[in-house]
Amino acid sequence: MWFNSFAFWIFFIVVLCIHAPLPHRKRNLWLLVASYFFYGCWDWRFLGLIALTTAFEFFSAQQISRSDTPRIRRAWVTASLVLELGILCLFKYFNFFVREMDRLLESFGLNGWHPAFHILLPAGISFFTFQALSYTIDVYRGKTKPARSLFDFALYVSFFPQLVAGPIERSSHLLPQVENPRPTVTHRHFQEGLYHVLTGLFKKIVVADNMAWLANHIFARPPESLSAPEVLLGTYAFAFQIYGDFSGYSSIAIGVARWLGFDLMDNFRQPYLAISPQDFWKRWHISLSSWLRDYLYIPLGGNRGSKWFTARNLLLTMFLGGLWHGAAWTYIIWGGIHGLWLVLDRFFRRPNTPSLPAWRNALSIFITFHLVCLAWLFFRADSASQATIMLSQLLGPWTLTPFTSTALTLIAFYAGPWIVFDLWIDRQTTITPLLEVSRGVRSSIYLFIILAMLFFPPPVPVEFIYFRF
Amino acid sequence: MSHFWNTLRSQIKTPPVEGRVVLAVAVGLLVTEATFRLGDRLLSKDVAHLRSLTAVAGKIESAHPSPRVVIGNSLARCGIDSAQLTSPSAIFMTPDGTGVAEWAYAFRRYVMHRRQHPAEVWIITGPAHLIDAPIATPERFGQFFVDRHDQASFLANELNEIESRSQFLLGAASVAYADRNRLQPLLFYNFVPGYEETARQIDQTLSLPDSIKPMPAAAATCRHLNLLLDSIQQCGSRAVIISVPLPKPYSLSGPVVAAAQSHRCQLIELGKLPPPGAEGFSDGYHLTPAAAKVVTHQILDTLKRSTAR
Repeated sequence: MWFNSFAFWIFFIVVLCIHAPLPHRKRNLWLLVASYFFYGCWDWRFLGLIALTTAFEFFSAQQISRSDTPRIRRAWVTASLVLELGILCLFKYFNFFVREMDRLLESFGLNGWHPAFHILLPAGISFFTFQALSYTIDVYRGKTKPARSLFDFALYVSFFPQLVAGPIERSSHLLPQVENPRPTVTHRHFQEGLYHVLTGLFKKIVVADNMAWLANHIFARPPESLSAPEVLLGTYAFAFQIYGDFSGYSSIAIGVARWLGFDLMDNFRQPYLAISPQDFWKRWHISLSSWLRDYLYIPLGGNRGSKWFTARNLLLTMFLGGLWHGAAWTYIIWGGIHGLWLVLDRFFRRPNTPSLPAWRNALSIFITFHLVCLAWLFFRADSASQATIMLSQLLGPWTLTPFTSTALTLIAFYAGPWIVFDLWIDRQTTITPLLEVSRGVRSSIYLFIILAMLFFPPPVPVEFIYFRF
Repeated sequence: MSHFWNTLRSQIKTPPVEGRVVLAVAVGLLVTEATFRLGDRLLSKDVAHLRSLTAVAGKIESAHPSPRVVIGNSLARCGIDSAQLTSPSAIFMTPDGTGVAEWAYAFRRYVMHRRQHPAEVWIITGPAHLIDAPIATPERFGQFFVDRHDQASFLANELNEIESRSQFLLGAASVAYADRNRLQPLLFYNFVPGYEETARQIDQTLSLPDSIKPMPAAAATCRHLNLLLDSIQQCGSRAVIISVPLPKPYSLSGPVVAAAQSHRCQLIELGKLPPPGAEGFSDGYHLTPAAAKVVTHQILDTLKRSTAR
């Protein structure tokens, strides 16, 4: 049940209509039922996995909060870490591990291990395990109180708008909204929800899926046959595809949650207008980058040590961030590239740089965007060798083909309005400045969005990229 | 509960700012719909053909004596010489890019449910047009082919997902929705440099190679052909299935022949005969007017001989 499907919106209207007149406790129970149904639509066999994660984390947090003995508290939080990361490793990395072991053994002339089974990847496993894990760690750290009710906690873990692709919420932010009666849904909630849902659908249907048509073509062709402009435009197309896809999903999740009276965290803030790698990670997948910062980078020591110590922590965090996305060398290289840039940025950035002149700012945005695109090339490629050959093609002749002129026009046509919109938002002081402009302008933009979705659907619908993670 | 309804009531009495935004958007959409209803014929030739089906139904109604209806797509339009079909006269129902599912429902909507009784119905086909295929454009069926008499059975029997059912219902309600895929090609083919070549290349790259294509789930069926032949029989008309020549000779498949035999429908397989040669095809696929004259003469001749027998 994708957010851009009729099935989802029929489901949501039913959920909303039943949800509206119910009292708080029954609302939570109803949302829990709806969330399990939503997840079950993907694969009901994995409902037990969410239930297990929920029950164990709830129970271990209770034990942690009840005990004053540091040893017992530590034991429970360790058990929680082992279980969650164990589940993640089993479902996400087992096949990768077997494949790589196989290759290694065969390189030594030994028989590989060929297990008779293949483990399926549950949708959104990386998201809900991280969300559940952050709760137990926060209870252990005394940053959050343990949930009062198992049902409330179950809703926190499985809340359907953000269950399969985030934002990865913190217990200190989402759990109180679940436990305490939420304010009545007002006109402002409706207004904000509409804004997020419409912009999210536009980003997904019009930008991301149409860009996927171009990007998939380039990445499906033999890399040796590509000209330099084709590689460049294919990578641009993928950069806009993944941004539109993921930020579109996050926007719809935020909007849908808003209509149910919830406030989810922002996940994207115009990332392609970042002026440095560090700035990029403050704007891209904010809920994951802040999670990695709070639960990995800082516990590793953060920047509380020598430059080299900080560099190690940054590299390690980004390597693991890459691995979080999936079990493949391309993701690890992607994380490594970002880690390396963050290190170089930290080493060479002048402290307290005064605000940059406009041309320097534009140049910084241009350079950062292209560094990000270089990393996307590895992220999207089927293998590291494909990415390397594509990179080497950039040094080849700059032959213009029918594809290059079409791709350039289509990128400008589909992503252009959105880039302009991002540039405008970036200069405003509020997060949703469109809600502050006149009704006429807003109506025109909403009408444009709906007509664009109606008349410029993608040739082939594409599933949300981050569902795989 | 009462609080909820009170809030809702107060909001309706004094529409908030966003209510006016939604209203303005709704008006914009209505204007779009009205524009499409008035001028969607201009979008493409195939939409113009589909829009002409109502006029075709009117022609069948006013024709005396009962006419001969020619059903098919562009193969039929190019493959039959209408000048030779004088008694009874021929009326063409031949929208582009259609197959037997469209023909079956269009016949029911524009002929059978209007209580018309054409003397004869010619079904003009290539090798695969009479074999069942999944409904790829439910919104177009909703708008152009299925009428209210068949809606419920179409939803129940032809579509099995919420997505396709929703598309069908939206297509039935809105012309703009049914024609949604027409604007993009019109714009891109005319204004985006290299688009035609690129689209062809991308379709080639992204289509699965034959070696990894999934095996067909089941053998070929002719459910829609049976529906069409049943409907023709209900109108009391005589059905004739005619395969037109293509650059390579071909035979109609077993299920098509079986469906024709079970309905006592005459089968004229001109597709089996040696084709007229490259000069007989205007674009490598459709017959030239000269070849169409020969083909039509052959059909009429075959029909005359079979009647005499």
